[in-house]
Amino acid sequence: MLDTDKRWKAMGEVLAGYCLDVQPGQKVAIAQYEIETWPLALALYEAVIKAGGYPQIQLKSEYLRRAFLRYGSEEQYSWAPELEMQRIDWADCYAALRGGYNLDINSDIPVEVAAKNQRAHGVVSANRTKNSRWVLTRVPNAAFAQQAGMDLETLTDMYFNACLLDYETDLDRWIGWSKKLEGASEVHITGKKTDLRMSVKGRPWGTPNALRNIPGAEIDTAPIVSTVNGHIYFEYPGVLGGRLMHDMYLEWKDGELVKATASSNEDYLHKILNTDEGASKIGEVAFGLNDQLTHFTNDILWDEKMYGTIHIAMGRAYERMGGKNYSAIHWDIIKDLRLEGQLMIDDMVIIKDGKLQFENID
Amino acid sequence: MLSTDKRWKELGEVISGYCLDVQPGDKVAIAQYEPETWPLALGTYEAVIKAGGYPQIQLKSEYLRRAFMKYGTEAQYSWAPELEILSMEWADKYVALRGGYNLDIYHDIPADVLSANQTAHGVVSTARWKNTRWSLTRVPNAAFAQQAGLDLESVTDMYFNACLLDYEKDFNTWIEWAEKLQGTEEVHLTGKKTDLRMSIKDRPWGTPSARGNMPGAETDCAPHEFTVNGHIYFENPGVLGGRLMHDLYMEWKDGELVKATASTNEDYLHKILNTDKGASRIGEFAFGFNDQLTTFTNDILWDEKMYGTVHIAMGRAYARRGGTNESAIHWDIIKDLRQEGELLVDGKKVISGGELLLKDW
Repeated sequence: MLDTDKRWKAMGEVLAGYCLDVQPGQKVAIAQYEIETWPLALALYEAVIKAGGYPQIQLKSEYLRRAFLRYGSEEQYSWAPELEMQRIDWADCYAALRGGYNLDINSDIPVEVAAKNQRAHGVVSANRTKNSRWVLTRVPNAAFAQQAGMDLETLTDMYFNACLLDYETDLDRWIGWSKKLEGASEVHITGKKTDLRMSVKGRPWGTPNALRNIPGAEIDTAPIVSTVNGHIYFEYPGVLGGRLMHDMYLEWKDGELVKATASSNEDYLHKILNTDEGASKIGEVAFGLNDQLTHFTNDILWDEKMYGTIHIAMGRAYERMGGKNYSAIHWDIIKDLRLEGQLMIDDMVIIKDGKLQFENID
Repeated sequence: MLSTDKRWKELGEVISGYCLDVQPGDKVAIAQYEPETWPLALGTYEAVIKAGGYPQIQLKSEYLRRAFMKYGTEAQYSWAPELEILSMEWADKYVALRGGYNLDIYHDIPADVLSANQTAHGVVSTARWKNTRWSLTRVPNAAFAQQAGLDLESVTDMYFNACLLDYEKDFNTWIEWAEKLQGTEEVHLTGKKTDLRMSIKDRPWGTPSARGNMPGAETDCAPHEFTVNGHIYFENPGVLGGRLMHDLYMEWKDGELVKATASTNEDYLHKILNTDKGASRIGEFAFGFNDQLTTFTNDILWDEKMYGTVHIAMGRAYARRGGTNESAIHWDIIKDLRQEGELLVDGKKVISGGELLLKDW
């Protein structure tokens, strides 16, 4: 079970160094999700030790979660895992290394059981972001390759290429790009069955980084909800709760959703958008910067960072972007502009012919 | 990474039910050693949930331990892992699922570094036995098969056969057999280059169980150290700290070691036996019951339970058996009686022709 591909070690150094900035004496909790994630867990463990830190590994898995759902009493599956809570109190830094998994693993579990368990685990997530520096990465494995519709080797190579960047120069360049957007007023997206405008006046743009999510990065903002007008079509399926919604089409008038269709799981789409008042409104608009991400994987953590794509999120906005949408959901959906369409911000062409145009903007 | 071999689930039930007796509400810490031990970790996790318990898994590995020793400062490799200690304080029950590993993994680590790390991990062991009901099993994987000189399928089949017993019936039989030894006075061992006697007067024999060690089982006692007289030869190598000592031969006079030879690592043998005053004296005498364990694996946890073998431990005796040897070491060495030799207790045959004869007592 030892993988001698040195890129795992290089990734461990990026996570310990760039993402978590582990300092001598610091305690680092590593959550290894799925057994196959072991090479990265070991590499990160080594890198933390080299940085003078004290790592410990907790094993997690969707198989384990399923065991609670399948065999546990209500009290058991509603239980917030105590050792994980202790771990978070203990740690200065936290890394979640999430392997892929069969999205149908809980096909026979009633929805309300899964929901209760989700809430219990939500307690851990809330504490995680409060108490420690954290990073999250989706690690390729056989299940993830299958989800992405690719072979494992190509996918793993893409992962390393997208994560093992020159974090000095690449990010500086990206940060420079994001600064060109400060003070912009309007986002205008055109493309296949798409013409959508929204005001971003007075709203800041995020600074790209890969600190919390690796691979990175994206530039995002929170539009003014009531100014969203027009329609958008998505080339790739929307994914939520393990379900795919193909050929999604959404249309708004002054921020109110007036049409929402899909060629698969349309009922489910409507259910999501009716979760609460904010769920049918756009909370985030963003675009990806990572030109090493060239294939869709049906995993939002990777896909939203993809060069030549934009994404909107239905529901909750980030307060740090000045957003005021407080929906319980935050569902990212990717729009591919690589074959058709463009992104304009004010009079600046940002994406055209699938390429970011920042080099042409003063 | 899902193994659909249902025997993992069955073994999980044995660990949760028989070994740990998990009750509703029990908190159960599972230490999974080495990634390959995953099928049993999952099997145990499921069984604990079915029993109404709350399991959590900590991943451990000799690769991780090596990382501390290879890349860490003294402060780091001497550190007692805090989350593990917390998990012992949290847990009611604890099970260690230990996969095999390459015994040469620390070939480039200095002995003093290893020893400092070992001491730090001792703190976890102490927390474990103070706070939890615990159990330990050695789980077959590729490294273990190699150590045992077997293929992985055969060693895994042997493991399941030796662990998935009828815990009502088999153990009651074994317990009855062991009861017959209570009140006996002298152990006499004969065999190839072997003739060894020791007094066990007023010392109790242990009740065979597999609760703390899976697979089980053995019965053991603590001989009176200064009554040990005679000599013993070991057919299979003694194993300690990853080193093998072949053709081990030892001789005592009134409990004092007068001869100790081996055809390999003899210097190391002498070093072990000189650890302290008790290290050259016998602290334990025992024999195994498990007739499903048929092949040596060079792992003491399995081998000492083997049917048709006896073992002695150099060094520390168990106080619960009335032993007084307080050596820092407790080194078990197996003597195979399956081809040649007999175990007599008070002149009556316990093992002869490789068979346990207690049923005839």
